[in-house]
Amino acid sequence: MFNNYQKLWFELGIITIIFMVAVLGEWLRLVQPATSFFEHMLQPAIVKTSGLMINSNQPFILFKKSFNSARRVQELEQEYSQSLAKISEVEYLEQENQELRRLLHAQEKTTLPVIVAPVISYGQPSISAGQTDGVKIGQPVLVAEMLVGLIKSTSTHQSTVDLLFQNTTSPILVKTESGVEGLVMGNGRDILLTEIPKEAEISIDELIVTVGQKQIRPQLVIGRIQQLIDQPSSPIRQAIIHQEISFYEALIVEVLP
Amino acid sequence: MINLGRWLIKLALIVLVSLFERVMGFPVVVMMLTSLYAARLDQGWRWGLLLAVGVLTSTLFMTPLSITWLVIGLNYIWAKHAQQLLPSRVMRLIIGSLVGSVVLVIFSYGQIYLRQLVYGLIAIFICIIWFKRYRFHLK
Repeated sequence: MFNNYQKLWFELGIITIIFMVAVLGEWLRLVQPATSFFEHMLQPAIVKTSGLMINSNQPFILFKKSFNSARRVQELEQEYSQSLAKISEVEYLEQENQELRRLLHAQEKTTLPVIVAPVISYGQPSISAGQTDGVKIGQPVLVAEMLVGLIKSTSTHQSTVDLLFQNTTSPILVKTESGVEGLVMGNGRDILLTEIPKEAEISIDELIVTVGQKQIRPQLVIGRIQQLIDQPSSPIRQAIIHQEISFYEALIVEVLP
Repeated sequence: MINLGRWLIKLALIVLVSLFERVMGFPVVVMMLTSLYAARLDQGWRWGLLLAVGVLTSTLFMTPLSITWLVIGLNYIWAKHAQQLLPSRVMRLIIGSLVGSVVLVIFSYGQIYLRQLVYGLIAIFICIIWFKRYRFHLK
């Protein structure tokens, strides 16, 4: 009935008509409720699939980590003993703080609720929580209390995450344990601490925490300084930050509202 | 009646692959299977399948339905009708799916990472072996 050329034009015509209907539907906001409904229906399956994939990947992660596990255990033991000393100090300060609050009749500090969400994509980091859960662009994403990224875009039930090493547009204001301030940005491969004054004293293994800015609370841990980059011709110094935790090994993340 | 069962099996397979590729963040096999299956179905079932996959991909990859539909539709047209430009159907499927996936990912996330392309190439390599083994009427 039709030759190939006619078939091609007929099929192109159908594609164009459906495309125009879809554009009109999007413009009139008729498509969004449908995709939102499908997103909601598919959410358990997406979470299950990503869970299965990360679990099947665990043996490879453990195998990779086992190469330097002995040295890592030693480091962790050392950090553990240091942490114990800090905990007792913090407990003492907490008691003191509570006493002072009682004396001042101050109200207990209220903590904001966090949004807990499963990871659903590692290719393009995404989580299974969206606008309906209260997720907004720019909110910090945490894995085991460590800041790993910021929310990049949201849909009704999903959000994409810009990991710190990918974050080239939204610098985060941070400070080191010794009080040196700088900005954290990514270069596509590493997390960099930049804009450090030349004369500032910073050292390897120093802890980096946020200072606090719009949408990002203060005292969120980012990582430790791994390497210092000091170029003689540059007026500032840079450092590479190492994170103990990776988004790619996490099943669940927290989003701070 | 005979077509409904086969159509549902094809759609179910595409849904399963989509869920897997959502985790990987690159829908290359979904694009390839959709073009392959759509070319072998009757008119009504074909557009139904393309539309269903369009809605599914748009939902999973957070892309506008119109763009997803256009990419899937043009990929199907390219795989089916571009014999004069590229005689090998396997090559048409591979090139169309790769280009379509890259367009979708860029529309969805604004950028593409090397690991996604590496996944895409590995997936294509496996698909070629699969196509050759089962001889899906490929020239």
